[in-house]
Amino acid sequence: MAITTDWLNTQHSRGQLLPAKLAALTILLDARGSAYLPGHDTLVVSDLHLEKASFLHSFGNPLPQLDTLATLDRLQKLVADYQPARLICLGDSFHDKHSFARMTEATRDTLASMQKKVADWVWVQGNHDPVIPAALGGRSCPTLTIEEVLFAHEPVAGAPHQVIGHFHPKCKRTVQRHRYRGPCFLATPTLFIMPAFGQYTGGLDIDHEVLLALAPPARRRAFLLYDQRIFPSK
Amino acid sequence: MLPARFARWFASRGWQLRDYQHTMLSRSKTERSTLLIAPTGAGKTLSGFLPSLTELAEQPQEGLHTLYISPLKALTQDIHRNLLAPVEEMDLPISVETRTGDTPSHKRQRQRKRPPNLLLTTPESLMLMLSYADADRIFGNVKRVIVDEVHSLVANKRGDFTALALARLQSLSPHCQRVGLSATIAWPELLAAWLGGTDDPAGILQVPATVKPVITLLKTDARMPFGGFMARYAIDDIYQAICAAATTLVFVNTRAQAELLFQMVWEQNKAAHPIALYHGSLSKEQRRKTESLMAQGALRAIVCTSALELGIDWGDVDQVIQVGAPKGVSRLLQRIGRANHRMDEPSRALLVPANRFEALECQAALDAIEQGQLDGDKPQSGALDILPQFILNCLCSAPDTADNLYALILEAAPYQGTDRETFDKLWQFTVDGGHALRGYARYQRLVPSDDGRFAPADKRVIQRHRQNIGTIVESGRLKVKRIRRGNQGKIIGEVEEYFASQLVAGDTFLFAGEVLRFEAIRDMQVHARAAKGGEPKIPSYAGGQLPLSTFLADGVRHILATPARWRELPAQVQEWLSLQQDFSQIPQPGNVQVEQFPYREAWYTLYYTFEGRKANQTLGMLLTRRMEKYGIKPLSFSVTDYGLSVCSVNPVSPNQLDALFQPDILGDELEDWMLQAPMLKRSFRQVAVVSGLTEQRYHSSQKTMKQVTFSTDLIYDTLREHDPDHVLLAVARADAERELLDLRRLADTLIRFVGRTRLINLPKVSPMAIPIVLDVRSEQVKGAGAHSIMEQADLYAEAETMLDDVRALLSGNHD
Repeated sequence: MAITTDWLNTQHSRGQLLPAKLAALTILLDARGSAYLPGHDTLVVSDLHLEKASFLHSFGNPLPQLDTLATLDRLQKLVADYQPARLICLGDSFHDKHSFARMTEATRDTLASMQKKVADWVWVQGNHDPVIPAALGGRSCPTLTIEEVLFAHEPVAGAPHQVIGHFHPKCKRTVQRHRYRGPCFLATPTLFIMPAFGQYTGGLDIDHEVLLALAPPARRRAFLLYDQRIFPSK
Repeated sequence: MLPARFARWFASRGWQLRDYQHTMLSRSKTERSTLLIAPTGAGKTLSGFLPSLTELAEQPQEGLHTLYISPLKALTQDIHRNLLAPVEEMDLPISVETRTGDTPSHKRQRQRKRPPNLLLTTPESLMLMLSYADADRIFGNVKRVIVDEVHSLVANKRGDFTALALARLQSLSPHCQRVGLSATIAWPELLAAWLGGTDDPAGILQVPATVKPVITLLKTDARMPFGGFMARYAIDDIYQAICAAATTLVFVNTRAQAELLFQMVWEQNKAAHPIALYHGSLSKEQRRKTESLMAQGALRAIVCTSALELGIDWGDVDQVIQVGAPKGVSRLLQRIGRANHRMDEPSRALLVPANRFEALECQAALDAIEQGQLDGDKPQSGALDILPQFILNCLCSAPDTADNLYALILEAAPYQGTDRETFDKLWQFTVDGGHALRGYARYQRLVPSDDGRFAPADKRVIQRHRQNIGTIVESGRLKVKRIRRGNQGKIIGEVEEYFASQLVAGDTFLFAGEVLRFEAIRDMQVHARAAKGGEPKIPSYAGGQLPLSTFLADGVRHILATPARWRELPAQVQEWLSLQQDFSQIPQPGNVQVEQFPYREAWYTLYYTFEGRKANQTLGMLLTRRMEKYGIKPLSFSVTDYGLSVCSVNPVSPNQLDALFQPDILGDELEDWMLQAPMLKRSFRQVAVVSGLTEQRYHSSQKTMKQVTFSTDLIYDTLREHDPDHVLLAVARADAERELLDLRRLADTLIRFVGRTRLINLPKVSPMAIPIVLDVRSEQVKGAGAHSIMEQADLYAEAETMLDDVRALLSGNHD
């Protein structure tokens, strides 16, 4: 447990942290795209999509393949700040089933040394990575429950409260004729959708029909991530 | 000089060989290259072809003899028609064909096997043909290459691209003669140097204009607005002018203006004159139809954009109306030249400014034309992102070494100064992606053979390259389908993707001259139905804005500073200037006037610099960064050629202004800004696509621009963080400095005016500021300003109570 109330107050006053609630669970939203459960010393990130560039690459799209490194770098900073006892990667951590095989030695080392710092590393399985390679540290499971809140990659029918990833929500806000857009956390009283954490990940607007069905405007709140800050909205 | 059958043909048409046409014929026997500069209507194109026609008539041959390169596809069709007349009427043994992106594949294959004598093409199609393995057979005997509208090919990437294609052509056919055709321009020598190639400038043949155009500035009783760009006030005068002439071209500056003006003219059109609409977003079929109606003389007027600016011969147009600011003297002359395509009669034109500021600009343009002054962009050193594409293009045709290709690019004038180190980096990028990307086997695009020459790694590299040749990074386009029943309908044109993405089902918008109701985007098409009457909800989309020449901005400043000249302006403009004088002040040459006023819960600061759009853009970037430091909280800024308007949460104090407007802003803030600016991301997007880092087309599927933007922005961030020395980042930066910044001019201004700013606080916007503030394109600023307007106090109160829970939980954990 590394975060102190001082740190919390500073980060909050800078607009980089914001608390939220889902059922009885208190969640601390970080402008860098992670969620922290202070009662359980648990950090949650979703949709890392590691090695997405090299995947697209194999279809002839010559992207620079620095995305894995960039994503892990950002994750490392979060782990250093929070030093959580548990880290949950909420699915689609790897872009495809050969991702781990394509990772360079250096990025594998980075990942492994980070995993050593977290006692309980949880890979929740996603649609892109239903099977987590055995060579990886940490444990793998389809879902996880904390304080009666279900943590899953995709929405699970019948679960009263759940935290999911999968959709890469993003939103825009218009204030005084200026328009701002970016990834966001999307919350309803029963559902909480994480933004995608991976470097090369696009997004789905919260006004897209799929997200409207899950989080209708009357019930939703979006927390826009813009310029290293987090902005709540009704 | 002229063979007998040509002489007879000229006589049968009642023409005489003009002096300069004679000179062109004789020069073709001696000179290596010639730049012909002549006013429109002088028979320029025919004189370009005359030497080739006579040579081929006397010595018929197989294969390619003359290549004609035009910047516009439509122009090749038009020239083709015009060439067929002499060829058929004189029964010459000459084959003439066009080759563009629209040419069907069976025709392309035949052209590759048996090329025609005269081939009319575009720079992109030429480059594609140069990538063929048998390029040396096709082009090995080309005697002459004619580059039309050369003036439109300098100082831009397309020109650099064309210069490289010419260098490659020359290496395949060393004795190929170059002929350039250009409208009247400001710096003929620079153009000649571009055309001829490194250290071998073309000879110049200049045909003076015999008559000056007759141009009038609209003087009307209708009230001219202070701001706005649509000229609705003058619609009656425009319609009357159309009625008074036999055929009129009405030029506007953007497609949105074209759509709206067309609509407004038709509302006036009680006599039901045939008046058409023409702009680059309409479907090919619609445009062809309009072109042929015009050629038959069936139309009374066309409302058009710059799409009709270049040399298509329309026969009898007897008046040009320019609606909106002319933007540049040379451009205005080119447009006016569309009227009366005959050299010895004056062109007639009417200028209709859309607001009072534009009236100043029109007057400045009239002054310049009267004094025979011209503006234009000077050639610059070549854009580096084209080189990887060019290297790959050459190697697709035949394997070669880096040394040979380096020597080749030095032959193209824009690239004569390229140093070997830069070239080697770009070469390495082409070979294996350079340092950042080398670790990945699949990235290898080129492989060396035993003799040290490089060739594409496999067929897919070649195929991908060929699909992506060119320098124009299109803003994404979606086809517009006008639905009649079910999903059945007709494609009527294209809109920019960003425009389509902001539409919601049920929105109505103006397109192709009618109001459409948006339904959905399906299969990369915008589906819309005709809406029944009414005002469109979304006015239209602002495709294709024109940059304005700095030359005219200077002219405007001069007129302002000389009240004696105001009398030449329309009465309403004079009245506007005196209003400005009473309410605020008239900007003076000795200082920079700064006006500040509150508007819609924010403060606007206006800097009247008159330093041109580029310099103002840069100033905007830098000022807002410094304002951020002072807690002024800037939100956004917009620029015109005359000034800069910054919108911020807090006002600027006189002391702050002095500290803002300092030359050291170029040192402190510039570097900072260069690394983070969205402008740089934008230029990186271009660079990434042109250099082949990402592709617009893969197999047959065109990526949507959204995908390209998304990936290049992220790539930019990633590269900057993890491989800051990547050659493409350097290229993007060089590009931004070249095309966006104008640092020197800005530095001069800052030094000249340090301590000489004049801050005027006003209760509301001044008459002169209106057009600047209303300019819609604004650049957003990240930082405290954005944070403060997005923060909503009530939501934070709620957060505060929840935060107590967090604190409790945290302390619980500590126990």
